[in-house]
Amino acid sequence: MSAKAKAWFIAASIAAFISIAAVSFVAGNYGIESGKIVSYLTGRGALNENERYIIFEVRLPRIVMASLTGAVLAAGGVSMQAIFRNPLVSPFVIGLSSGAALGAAVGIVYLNASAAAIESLSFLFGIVAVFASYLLSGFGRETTLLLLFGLVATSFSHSVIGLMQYFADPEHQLPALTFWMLGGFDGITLSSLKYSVPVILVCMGVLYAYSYKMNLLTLGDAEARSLGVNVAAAKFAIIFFSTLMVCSCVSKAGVIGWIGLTVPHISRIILGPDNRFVFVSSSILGAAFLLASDDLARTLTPGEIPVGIITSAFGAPVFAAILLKYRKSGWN
Amino acid sequence: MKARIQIENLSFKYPSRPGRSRSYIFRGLSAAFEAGSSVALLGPNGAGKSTLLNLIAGHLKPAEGRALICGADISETPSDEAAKLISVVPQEHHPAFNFTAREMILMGRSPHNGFFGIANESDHEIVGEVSRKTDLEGLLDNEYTKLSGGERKRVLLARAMAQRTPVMLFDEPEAHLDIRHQHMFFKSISGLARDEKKLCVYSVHNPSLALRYSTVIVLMDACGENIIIGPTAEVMTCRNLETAYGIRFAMTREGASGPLLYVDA
Amino acid sequence: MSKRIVTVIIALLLMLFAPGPGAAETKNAAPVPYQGLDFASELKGAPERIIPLFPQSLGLIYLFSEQKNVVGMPFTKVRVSLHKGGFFSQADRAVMLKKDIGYPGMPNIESLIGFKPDLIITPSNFHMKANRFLDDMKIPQLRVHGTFSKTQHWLEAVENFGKIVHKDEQAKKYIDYFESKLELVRGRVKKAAPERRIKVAHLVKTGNKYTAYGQKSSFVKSFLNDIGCEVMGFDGKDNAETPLSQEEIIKFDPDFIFIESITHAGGKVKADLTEGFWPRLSAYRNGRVYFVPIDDESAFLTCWYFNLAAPLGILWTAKTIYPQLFEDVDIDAEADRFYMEFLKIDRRQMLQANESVKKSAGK
Repeated sequence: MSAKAKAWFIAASIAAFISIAAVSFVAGNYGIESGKIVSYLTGRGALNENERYIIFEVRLPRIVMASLTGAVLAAGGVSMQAIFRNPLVSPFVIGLSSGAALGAAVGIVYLNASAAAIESLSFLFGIVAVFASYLLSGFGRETTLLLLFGLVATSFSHSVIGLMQYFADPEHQLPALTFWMLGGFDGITLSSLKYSVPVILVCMGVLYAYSYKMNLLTLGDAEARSLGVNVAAAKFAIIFFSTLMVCSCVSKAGVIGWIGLTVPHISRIILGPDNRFVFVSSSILGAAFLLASDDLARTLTPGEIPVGIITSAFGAPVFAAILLKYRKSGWN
Repeated sequence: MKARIQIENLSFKYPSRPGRSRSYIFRGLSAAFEAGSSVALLGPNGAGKSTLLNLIAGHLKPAEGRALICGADISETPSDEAAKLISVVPQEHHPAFNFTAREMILMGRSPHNGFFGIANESDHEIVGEVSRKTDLEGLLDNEYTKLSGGERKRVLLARAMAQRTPVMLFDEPEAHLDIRHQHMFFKSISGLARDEKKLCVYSVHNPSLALRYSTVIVLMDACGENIIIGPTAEVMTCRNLETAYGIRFAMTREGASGPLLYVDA
Repeated sequence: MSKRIVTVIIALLLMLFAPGPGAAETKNAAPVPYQGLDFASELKGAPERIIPLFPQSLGLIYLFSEQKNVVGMPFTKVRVSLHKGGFFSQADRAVMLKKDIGYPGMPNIESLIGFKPDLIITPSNFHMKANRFLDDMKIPQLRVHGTFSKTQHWLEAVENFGKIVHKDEQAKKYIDYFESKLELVRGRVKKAAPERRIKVAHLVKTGNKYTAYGQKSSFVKSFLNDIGCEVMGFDGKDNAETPLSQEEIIKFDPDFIFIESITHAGGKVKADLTEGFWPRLSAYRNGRVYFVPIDDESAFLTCWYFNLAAPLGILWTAKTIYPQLFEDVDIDAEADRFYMEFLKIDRRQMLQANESVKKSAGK
């Protein structure tokens, strides 16, 4: 695919994302006519108090956070896949998600903390889990060791979470923990976004700057070094910034699977392996995919469906279809 | 820049190798190699060929002494600067992502292209030129992972050539190649040294290839202690080879293209 | 190496600051479990659009005959069956016309606001994400202690709801009834002073799994303890739900076993008991394994150990354990009266509609 065709594809995905975002403002169980919203935005009509609240306090923060989270998970997947030279790892591979869940469990069970404090704790624990793996593996020098220490961090966190669930007060804490684990974008407010959005945008920018180094890193550490990459510094920066942004999203929206795996894979099938393109298109497609999933989560039933259920319901079959293609042609 | 490798009083300490008695290797090795030579690192398994190659590439840090590449201590040079002095042709490998041959060769330009690796006109010209020299012109848009072993090796060579460094290192260039491709590959390496005044250093298992194509030989014995360095004709004697490998060799001066070496055990 | 360690530590410290402002923003207030009414000032007169967010609170609605004012139901967890004579066909025929509000504790805020509720019954015992929005919109919320594991939680909720719907007399009548039954049982057992504490195990059956502890049973456990029983695993606290340990129950060897199940499947439940460890228990051999009565299988709130019908459960349990002490109490007649008086339901009809359910399924 030529560079021009790649640019067209990316432009088309941006257009798709924008149309999904526009639909997201109109779709919702409250039912506000699209004409009414358009005339309000163009200054010709008015909305009543409830309608304004629904659009700006309920839908807008969800749309912002769902798109950002989709972009972050897909871009985090691209970054981790480059570090581990493996297209099958997820952004959670070195202990992030289970660490974050452990943090939430500590906040709920031991500290009986408020929602914002639970969020901060899950953020901290997710980061600590990743950096424990990173330090234990000797600054990620040995990629395999890093992966295995990530596995250790994951299983350890899971056992502690299990213990906490066992001892949790079943009336107050257990349901709170269960709902946290289910995840989803209900309950996102504008004020809770004002710190995470700038952090996420900075991280995405830095990681994109590293996208060409990611290409070189996929060849292996020694080769990347002989092609001029400061491998230790690049690995640290990529792990640091992807952890920071993925953690900010996970602590708000819970663990949402399949995006970090499926979306980069689809991007690679269309655009080839060059991360300078894959990073951009994965971010946009990830944002569009998660935004559409969240729209379904809040409109399919009168209630809320945890969005992770929807992403798996779509992600798993799509991934199976990709794998079937490989069955015919061989993996490489 | 004129190619030159200067090794001064070099020793290397293995972090820990269970089951091996010695932890030091080379013990004050000194040597100098000049532009235009093709240097073969020769010796039995475990002699330290790859270790020496990695020390020259700057991937390992010496315990004592230093390796100077064009006057710069390689282990102190940042990797982006080092990549302008030394290119490395690794052994065959299977990358997890299916870059095209062109993209692989373009990666050789990355030390010159800045952080984001944007290739300009002259980079594409260089890719065209090195792919002509390595006979890859028709294959540039094929996926690297779908090429044959010989073609993949040539892509890696082309990438190193595109890197335009005075010193080029090769890790066992004959590995995974059939005998015809082995000779063609070594011919290209000698060509680079002879015609473009590169300094090529490679580790090699087959003494016949070293005899045929190298100008300088570094012959190590099994424990890396006795190292003989010198021009090919002086070092490649049956006696030296027997000391290093512990088997008998015989040599005839009557080959069509110079002396022939064979095992006579 | 040391340089790298310093870099990593500085980076970690920086990361710790990143969420700092977010944490500082709402250091206040972990959700304190309290019962009461929020935004009461918004409430003008009795509410006409009520939404109970979780199924355990439905008892409140039917006790006060407020079903006509309910606009939304948590249908994900409430299975309604309108078979003739059953609970819903007698108490709330129009129930299916109400809106579905989805999974309890995880409502869709847009749907919720769209139903224009003037009172939402929310759980006070855990922090629901939707609370923020309900507070923003100043929608009156009656917070009740969701699982009613303590008698006083349930009676307090009855009192509060009675006030809101302006039916204080009904609340008083029910609370008096509840307390008189509790007093009757306590008093007689205390007077008789049995020489030995009777060993009782209370199990909850979900699917084919037996649970020995858990919030669903703590009300029953403390009540059994009050009427002179030694209850397996009773320590006055709410334990986590724990599967039944066979070793524990064999060691404890209870005289009575009460099994509460809202997933009855007729005679099949009893067949389960003939296998495994059950025949080793003396309660089983003496025919003292009881299924707690549930008058209509399709309406879990008719279970006698559940909040609404708990006074019946109290009487039935006491009579089952001490038949001589409560010889004069006719449980069936009492239950018929209870349903007619408080719920305007003909219990005979309801039972006929549910032949498969035996009101006290002894061994």
